[in-house]
Amino acid sequence: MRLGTLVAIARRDLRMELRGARGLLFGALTAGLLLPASAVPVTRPENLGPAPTPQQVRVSGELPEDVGEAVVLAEGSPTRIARDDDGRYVVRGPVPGRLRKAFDAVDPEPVRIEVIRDPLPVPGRTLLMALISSSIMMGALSESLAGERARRTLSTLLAAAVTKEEIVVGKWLAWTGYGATAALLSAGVAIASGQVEPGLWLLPLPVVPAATVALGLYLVRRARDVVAGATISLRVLPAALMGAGIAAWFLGRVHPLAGASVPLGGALLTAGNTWPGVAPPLVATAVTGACAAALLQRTAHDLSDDPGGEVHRSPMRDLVFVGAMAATAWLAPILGPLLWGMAGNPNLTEGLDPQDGAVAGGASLVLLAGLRVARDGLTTAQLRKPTLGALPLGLGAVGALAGALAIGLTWEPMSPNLAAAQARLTAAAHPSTVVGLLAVAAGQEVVFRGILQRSVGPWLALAAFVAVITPQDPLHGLAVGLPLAMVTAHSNSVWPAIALRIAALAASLLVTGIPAAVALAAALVAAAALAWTRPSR
Amino acid sequence: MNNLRALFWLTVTLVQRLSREGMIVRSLVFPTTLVIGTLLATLAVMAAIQSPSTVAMVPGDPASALVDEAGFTVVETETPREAVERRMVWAAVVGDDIVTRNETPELRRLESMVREARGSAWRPASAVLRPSNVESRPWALRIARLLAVLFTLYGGVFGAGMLARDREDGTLESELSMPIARWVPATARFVAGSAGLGLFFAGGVLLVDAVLDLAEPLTVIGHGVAASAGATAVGLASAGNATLKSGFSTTLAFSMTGITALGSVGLSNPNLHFLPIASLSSEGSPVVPLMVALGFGLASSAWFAWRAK
Repeated sequence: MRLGTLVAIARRDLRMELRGARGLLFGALTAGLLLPASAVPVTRPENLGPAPTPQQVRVSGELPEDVGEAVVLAEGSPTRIARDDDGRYVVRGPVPGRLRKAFDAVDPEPVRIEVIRDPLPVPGRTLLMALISSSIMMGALSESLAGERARRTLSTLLAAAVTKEEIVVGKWLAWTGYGATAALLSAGVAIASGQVEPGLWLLPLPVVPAATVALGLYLVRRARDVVAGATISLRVLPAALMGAGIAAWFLGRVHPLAGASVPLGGALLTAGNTWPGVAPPLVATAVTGACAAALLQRTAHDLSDDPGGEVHRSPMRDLVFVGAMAATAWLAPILGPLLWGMAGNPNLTEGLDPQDGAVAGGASLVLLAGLRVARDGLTTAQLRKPTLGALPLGLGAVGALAGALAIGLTWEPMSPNLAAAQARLTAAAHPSTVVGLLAVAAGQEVVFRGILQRSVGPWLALAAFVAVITPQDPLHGLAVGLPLAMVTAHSNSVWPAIALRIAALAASLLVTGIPAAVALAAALVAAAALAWTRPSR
Repeated sequence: MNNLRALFWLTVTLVQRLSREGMIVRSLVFPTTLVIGTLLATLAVMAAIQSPSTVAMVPGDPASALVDEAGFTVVETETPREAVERRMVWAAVVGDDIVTRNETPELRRLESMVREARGSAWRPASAVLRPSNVESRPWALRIARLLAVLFTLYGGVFGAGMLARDREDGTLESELSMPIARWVPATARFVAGSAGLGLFFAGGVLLVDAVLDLAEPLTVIGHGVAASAGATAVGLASAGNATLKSGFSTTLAFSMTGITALGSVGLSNPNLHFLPIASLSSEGSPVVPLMVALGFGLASSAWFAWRAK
C-alpha cells in the first residue's frame, strides 16, 4: 500500500462527504455532542436534596397493633397480613422494606439479611466520549462505500491503478482520523478542565472509533446504495457497540483481562477507565486493533463494483444454514416457554399450549420456505407437477400413515427439563387444529423434503428432519420421513409428500392403538418398496 | 382484464425482487428476531443465574432440619459466611443473619424457614406468587403492539422507497411505458409491500402468542396488517416524484408525519379506531380498518396515476 494513495483517497472521501454547509453542520454536531460530555460537571446523587418523607405501608388483612403507625389498612393491597396457628404474623405478597423494619423493631428474634455485593466497576465519562465519537460517523459510513457504488464512482476507482486495500484503508483512515481526533480533542478538553485525570485510557480511546469505522465499512461492503447502507449501519452498529460493551462488562467481572479481550467492547470499557492496571488498556487496544485489521482485510477482499453477483452455495452450507434456521423457527416457539419455568415462573410454562407453538413454528417454517421460493423460484423447493403412479402413491400413503402412528418409541429423559422438553415436542407433533395441521405439514415438508432434499439428497435431509423436528422421538421421525422422502424422490415433486403428510397427521388424530413396532415396520417396508421401484433418471 | 393480469405479475415480480434483497429480508425478520430473541435470551440468562439452593449452616443449627425439609441443600461448616464470600454456597445462616450474594425468590423461602425456626413474631409466606399466562396477557399485547409499530414504520419506508428506488433505476419508467393503466405499478407496490409486511408481522405475532400468550392473536394480526398496509399507502402517496438522490428525505418526513399523525389520533380519540394505524390500540374487530387500509391503497394508486400523467 502506498501512503500517498491512501491519503489521497482519505482526503477525497472527507471532501465529498463534508463539503459546503454539510461539513459545517457535521462539525457543529460533533462539537455540540462531545463538549458537554467532556466539560460539564456531573451532579452527584447525594447532592440532590433530602430524602422524601417515609410514607405508611399499605397492607390488607389483619393490621398488626405493635408495628404502630408504619402501616395503614388498604383493602386490595397485595401485601396481605394474616396469623398462623401459633398466632405469629405471616406476610403474603411483597414485603416492603419499611414494613420489614417496623416488624423487626419490635421482634425479639429479628433476622437480618445481608447481601454481599462486590464493588461494581463503573466506567467513567470518557466512555461517553468514545461512544459519541463512534456514533456520529454512522451516517457518513453508510454513504462512504455505498454512495460511491450508487454514483458509479467505485467502478472508476477499482479500474484505476489503486488496489482494493488502498481504497478501503483510505476510507478507513478518513473517518478514523475524524473520529479519533474528535475523541482525543474532547479528552483534552476534559483533562484541561479538570474533569478527568490523564491515564492509559487515552490509548484505547481512539481505537474505538477506528474499530467502529472498520466494522461499519465491513457491514456496508455489499450495500448497493445509501438507503441500504444506512439501514445496515444504523441497525447493526449501535447494537454491536452496546452488545460488545455489555459482554465486556460481564466478562470483566470474572477478570478484567477477559473483559478487555472482547473486541470493541473491551476497548470501549477501557476507554472509560473501567478497570485498574496497565494490562487491560494494552490488551483491549491490541485485540480491538487486530479485529479492526481483520475486518478491513475482509472488506477489501469482498469489495466489488457489483455486489449482486451469484453467490455460490455449497450443499453442506445449505444444510447447516437452512437446518439452523429451521431449528430456530420450529423449536423456539415450542421449547421457548420452558425457559419461564427455568427462570422461576412455572405458571407461565404450564399456561402456554405447545399447540400454539406448533402453529407458530409451522408458520415460521412456511415463511422461511416462502422466502427461499420467492428468491430462487418454485423448483428450488421441488414445488412442481409430480410424476407418480398409483402403486408408488399407495405405498407412500401406507408408509406415511404408518409412520405418523408409530409413536411411543421415545428415549428416557435424563433430567426433568429434558422430560418437559420431550413432552412439549410430543404434544406439538400432532396439531389438533386445521390451521396448525396445514402449517406444520406444509412448512416441514417444503423445508425438509423440498428445499433440503433437493440440495443435499434424501438421507442428509432426513437426518436433519429427525434432528430438528423429532429429537424427542427419532424413530418416529424416521418412520414419518423415510416414506415421504422416497415419495418425493419418486415423483420429483414435494406436493405428494405435503398431501400425504396432511392426510397422515389428520388420520393420527383419529386412529390410535396400533402397536408402534408394527407401524414402524410397515412404514419402513413401504419406504423400501418405494426406493426399490423408483425409476432411474 | 389485462390490467388485472399485469397487476398480478408485477406484484409477483416485485415480491421476488424484494425477497432477493438481503437487506429487505433482514429488515422483515429483524423486529421479530430482536423481540423474541431478546425475550428468550433474557429468560435464558435468568435461568442460568438461578443459584443452586445450597445453604451453609453451623453444625447443630436448630433451623437446619426445617431448611433441609424445604428442599435446600444444607452444607454444615464452622465458617458459613466465608463459604458465601468464597462463592462456595448460595447463602449462609450466620447466627440470626442470612448472608447471600444473590437475591433470588428462594431467599424469601429461606428467610421464612429461618424466622420460623428462630420463633420470630413474623415471617414472609414461603410461597411466591407468580403471574399466570392470563395475567401476563397485557404484557404480551404490549409487545405485539410494539412489533406492529415497527412494521407500520417499515410500511412508510417501503411504500416511499419502492417508488423512489424504481424511479431512479428506470424500472418504474419501463413499467409506465407498457400498455397498462397507470394505477397498476403503484397498486402492485401497495399489494407487494402490504403482503410482505403483513405476513412477517403475522408470523411475529404467532411467535409472541407461543411464548407469552395473547388473548386474541387474530385481532392483533388484523390491526397490525391494516396499519402496515395503511402506512405503505401513505408512503406511496408521499413519494411523488422523489428519487433517492433528489429529496428522498422530504418524502420520508412526509410519510412519517402522516403515519405518526394517524397513530396519534388513534391514541387520543377511540372514535377514530376505524382508521388503520389509529386502530393499533383498539381491541375491536379489525375488519373496518382493513377495508379502510385497502381504500387508502387504492386512493394512493389513483393519486400516483394522476400525477404520472
